[in-house]
Amino acid sequence: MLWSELMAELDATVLVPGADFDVNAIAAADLLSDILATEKEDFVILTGQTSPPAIRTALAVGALWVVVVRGKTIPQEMIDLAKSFGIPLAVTGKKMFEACVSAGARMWNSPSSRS
Amino acid sequence: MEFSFVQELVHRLKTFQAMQTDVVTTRAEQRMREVQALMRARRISGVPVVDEVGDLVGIVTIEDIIRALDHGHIEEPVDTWMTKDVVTVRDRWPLTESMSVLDRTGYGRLPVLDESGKLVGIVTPESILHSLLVELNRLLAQDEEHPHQAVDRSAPDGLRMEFQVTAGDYDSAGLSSVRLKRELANRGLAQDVQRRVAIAVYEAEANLIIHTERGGQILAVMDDETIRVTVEDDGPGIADIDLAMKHGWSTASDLVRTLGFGAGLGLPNIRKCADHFEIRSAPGYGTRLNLRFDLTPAARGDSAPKGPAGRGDEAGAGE
Ligand SMILES: Nc1ncnc2c1ncn2[C@@H]1O[C@H](COP(=O)(O)OP(=O)(O)OP(=O)(O)O)[C@@H](O)[C@H]1O
Ligand SMILES: [Mg+2]
Repeated sequence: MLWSELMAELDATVLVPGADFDVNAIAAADLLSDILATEKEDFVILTGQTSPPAIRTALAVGALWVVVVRGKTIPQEMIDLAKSFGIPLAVTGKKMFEACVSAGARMWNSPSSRS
Repeated sequence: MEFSFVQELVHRLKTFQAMQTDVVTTRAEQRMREVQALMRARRISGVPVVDEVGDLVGIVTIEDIIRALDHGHIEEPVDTWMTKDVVTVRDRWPLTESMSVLDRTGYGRLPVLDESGKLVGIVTPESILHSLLVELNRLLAQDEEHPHQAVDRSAPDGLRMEFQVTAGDYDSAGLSSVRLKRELANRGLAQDVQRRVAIAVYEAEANLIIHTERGGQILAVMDDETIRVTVEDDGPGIADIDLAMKHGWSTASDLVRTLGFGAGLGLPNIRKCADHFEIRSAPGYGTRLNLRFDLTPAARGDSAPKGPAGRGDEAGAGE
């Protein structure tokens, strides 16, 4: 599934844009250590965390995009940080579980959902 | 040069790092004869006297024993013959301070008390020497440059970065990690090493923020062959390291969990990421991690041109 298709599927709003690409893996977690422990490569992060540490987590593991779930209001600080690091950022109104199900349904390999 | 290096070493150590903790003690109601036997059996020249809650009430030294013997009072209780106004030092004092007390008083040993006045150890010239040798060995093993030196100039690609991490500053989590990763990326290291170092440092940093009383330091030193990371804090320490290393075991509060920490995965993940992992901790004093990442030719990015630039390479702006 293409990134743009995933965005449509999740009915997400892009806050920091990035290039379109093929999404092969998703790491879904509210606890940052779960994301830091993933073995995946080139993956998208789904998380409920709306803080600078979430962006830095993405940077540490080399994640491709960060999608915030539950339609949370994202502090400007987080958006600025994502911009400065070149980490694309989006937000969806869906809950973590719903987001995983819709994304998983579209992907042949199901997402990991540890949360 | 060598001399100032040792001085520097002494300055970095705290008294608790140089004390002996398995202290032989006695009680005020014991007989002097029993203490004499104890001293002979354990080959020690002084025994602290504690009360039922562990508070220090005096000390019996060889001199006290001799005085009692001289007067034929060796069967009397410790209480009458012990030295009551004991010169003590504190566990958190810089070692230099305790050494100068040893020097000034000429005593061969000084009881060490914690903040609440409990006896927690004893410092002697031997215990100090021992701690210096241990520290020296550790530094030699780390191949560290002189501690004053900010950048390791001996290796062309050398790197030395030090970070102070503040306890309770949750929003700062990952700062050291991304700064270090950016430097590694700038030096062209392979993505895999960058990622493992960044993850390990992130987790170590988070632990300093979440679990310590006063935060701590992270020191990363890179040369041609390795990246060594030392993480240090001064409390509260970990009582059961095996438990702490367990996948999923965490003492983090619910509040901390809502902030995204406390899955209990940090330490096991640090161990997984590093090529060498060592953890040492003393409850009441602190925790230290020694990590090593080996730089194979592939890791150094020597063998092949680098793959597509990862995020780490783009971390030019911002933090
Ligand atoms: N520097 C430290 N000082 C004191 N206790 C620590 C320290 N580091 C870890 N611990 C203890 O070890 C436990 C396990 O640590 P670990 O990093 O594996 O998990 P966590 O920090 O609780 O959660 P996570 O790392 O997944 O966010 C912690 O809950 C804490 O009790
Ligand atoms: Mg942790």
